[in-house]
This record gives sequence, C-alpha cells and structure tokens, in this order.
Amino acid sequence: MDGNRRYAKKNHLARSTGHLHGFDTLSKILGWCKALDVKEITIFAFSFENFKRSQEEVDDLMEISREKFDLMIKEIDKINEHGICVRFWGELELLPDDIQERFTFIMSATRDNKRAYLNVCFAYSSRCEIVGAMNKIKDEVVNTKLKISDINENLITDYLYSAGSQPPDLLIRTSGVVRLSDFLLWQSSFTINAFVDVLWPEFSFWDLIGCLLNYQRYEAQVNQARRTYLSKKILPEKSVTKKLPCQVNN
Amino acid sequence: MSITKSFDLFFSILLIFVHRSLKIIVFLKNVFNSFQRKINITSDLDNYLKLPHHVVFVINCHDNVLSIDEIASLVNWSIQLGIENISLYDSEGLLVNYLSDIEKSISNKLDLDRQLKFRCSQQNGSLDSNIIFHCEYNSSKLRIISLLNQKFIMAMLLKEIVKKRLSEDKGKITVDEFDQTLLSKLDLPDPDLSVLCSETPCLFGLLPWNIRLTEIIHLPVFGKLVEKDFLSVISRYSNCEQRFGK
Repeated sequence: MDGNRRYAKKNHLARSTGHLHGFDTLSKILGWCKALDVKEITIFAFSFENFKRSQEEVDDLMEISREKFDLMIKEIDKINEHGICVRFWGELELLPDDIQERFTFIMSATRDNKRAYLNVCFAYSSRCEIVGAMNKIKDEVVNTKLKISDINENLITDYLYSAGSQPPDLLIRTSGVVRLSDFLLWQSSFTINAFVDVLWPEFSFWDLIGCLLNYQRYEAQVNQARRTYLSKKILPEKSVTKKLPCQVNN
Repeated sequence: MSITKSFDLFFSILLIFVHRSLKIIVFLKNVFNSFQRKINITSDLDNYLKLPHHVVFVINCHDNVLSIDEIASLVNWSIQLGIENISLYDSEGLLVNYLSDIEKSISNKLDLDRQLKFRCSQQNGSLDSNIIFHCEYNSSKLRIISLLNQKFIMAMLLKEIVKKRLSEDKGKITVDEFDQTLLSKLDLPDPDLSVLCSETPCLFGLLPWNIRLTEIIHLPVFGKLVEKDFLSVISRYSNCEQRFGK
C-alpha cells in the first residue's frame, strides 16, 4: 500500500485523506480478489519502520485504522458468512492497547474460517518476523520442547507468522518502487514480483488484471525453478560438493 | 455442448488471444526502448548520482538469454565503473559448472596476461551449502554465490546461537546481533542492486536476509547485449530514492 502521500500531494489533499483513499482502494481490491477467487491475500498496511514518521502522521494513521477496523467489526457476521479468516502479523504489542483489542477481537471471531485468508501486516518487518521465529525456537529448546538437532530451515518456516500458509505466488508493489522493503523476505524466494508505477490509491481493476496476466506468463517457469531448487536441496550434502569443478583452488 | 462449456471455451480462447497480444506488445515495447537507450544513455560517469556498493546479477539459466561471454561483459563493465562488490547468482548452481569458462571470459575482457582464478571458501567449517567462489581484481571483489543456501546457513547459525544461549546468555536474539553474526560468517554485504538478467520477474531464492532494501531492476535484454543496456540499469538505480519508512 505505497503511494498514499504522493497521491495526496498530487491531488492537493491532506495527507490523512491520502491514507483514507488508500484504505478505500484496499476494500475495492479485496472485493476484486474475492470475485477472482484468490484464496489468500497479505497486505502490508503499516511497516515497523513507519513508526519513524512524524508523531502527527502516526497518530492519523492509527485513527484511520480505528475507524476502518471498527467497520470490519461491524461487518464481522458478513466476514464469517464468506468464511474469511483475518490475521494480523507484526509487532502488535507496540500498538496502542485499543487497537490491539480490536485486532484480538477480529482474529478470535474469524479464526475458524477456512475458505479464504486475509493477512494484515501491521507494525511488521520481515527481519523482525524471522528473528521472532528464532526466539520462539530458542525458548522451546530452553523449555526442552525441542532439541537443538531439530533446528533447520523448515522449522524456522513453521515458526513464522505465515506458518501453514503457501508462499505467495504474486507480490504487487505500487508507486514505482522496485524493492521489497522488508516484506515477506523469507516467503517470497520464488514469488513473481509485479512492480507497477501507479500510486496505491489509483490502483484500478485493470492494473490488477495486468499483474495477473504477468503472473500467468511466468508462473510455469518459476514453479519449475522452485521445484528444481527444492530437489537440489534434499540431495545429500556430499553430492553438491561433487559438482564442484576440480580446478577450483581451496 | 452446454452453455457453460461454450463459455469456458470462449474464455480460454480469449485468454490465449490476450497473452499472444501481450507478447507482441512487449516485443514492440522492447524494440522501442532499445532504440531509446541507444540515444539517451551516456557513458559519462558524472550522470550517475550514485553507484551500488554491491551488485548481484541474477541469472536464469533456463532462459538462455545471456551467454557466458555476455555475463563476463557485465562483470567487466561493473569493474570499469568501480563497483566494489560484484556477485553472480543462479538458483541451481549451474554457473559453478561453467566456472573455468567464466574465468577465461572475464580475463579476456580485462585483457589479463594471467587468468583470474576463483577461490572456494567455506567460512563455516564443514557446511557444504556455504560455498562462495571469490576473487579480487583491482578494488572489486567478484563472487559466485550460486551454491549458497542462505536459509540453511541461517538455521545452522541459529543452532550455534541457541547452544551458546543455553550455556551462557539467556537473553533474546536481536535483529542487529543476527545481522552481524551472519555478516561475519559470510563476509557478504547487503546488495544495493539486483539485476534480473531475464524477463522473469523473480529473485529465485536470492539471499532472503540481505535483500531488504535491494533495488530489483531488469536488464533490458533485446538482441545483442551492449554496454548501454547495462548503463540504463545503473541509471535507473541511480535515480531510486530510499525513504527507510519515513
């Protein structure tokens, strides 16, 4: 959800109005994805790094969040009717108590739904998520629930917020920025990236279709590469060494 | 034939038509951009506001877009620009199979009397997934990181950290601590720029920990690769602005 402030500046609007329009775009996109039968959506609503913004802007964003998540709570029966499980990923303890309470309510009210998943990354950073998973594993070892020999990359995957989810197939970044900015770094190793120039509040249905066509173009090739990569990894380590050419100097 | 089946058939044909049209549009766009690059891009270094400290070329071996000679050209142009860290990556380790050809090709481009030799290093003892091939030329460090499975190494590091925590320190692992530990093990700085050397917009498992702020830019490959194609990537990178969440 990148480009709200630039959108506000471009259209001579208040910064908070830009963020508000951004949230409106989000609800439109969720509707389109539902119509297209997308099973899982993860949105990057608020980065851990966004706390560095001015206090005024952070407060504005929190106020808009309160308003929007209250709307979500009002429509919780509708969400349950559609079978959508809503989850919040991030350092939630850093958020104001009343927002944490809203998140807890929504998560517990929708946790048994299995038809579709909406993951909202809030106060999120991928490196914090990875290190958080590592700390959970460390605590399990200290409490003798796990052994040190159990630790491997799959175990780390199982302790991330995204445990149990499929890795994302398509990652869309708006507003002409061409980096991941600490979003799903571990999960998006074999994800198709769509970097689009349009600002988030201006993201239209046709932009989404463009991203999906791009995904369809490369999906088979990326899946093949992912399978080859995974099959390479399960080979015994020695066989990887044997591939090294003999002229290499140690 | 039922109405539903007719609709399915209609939409399947429509989808094929859309994809074919898209292919043609992309082709025409590439032709146009290729001409535009030849006119607009200059070799004058002063035009580039900033250069990457570490560039990684992500090669997709299945696309067959680049030859070994062209990969060597990319390395050579990066050296000429004075980029300090230049890495080559593919997800299947195939580049390693062509190591001697790459060495020969880069040496030819640099006009060297004595051929460059990549050395193999395993900084973490017996870990076979922790292999980086590296060599130095002037102020540039060249690496081939195709056999580096960073997730595996991160898990191994976690094992070591947990072992230490059990005996000495009971505190939490922090992001900075893990970042420093990984850096001291691999001696691999975060890439500022990753150049996708094929049309496929995917990083193919490249260094998940290090790509947090890496700019991801396609190398515009159309016809024979020329220096201006590479410089157009550097020019685009040079205009990228980092905001660090602010």
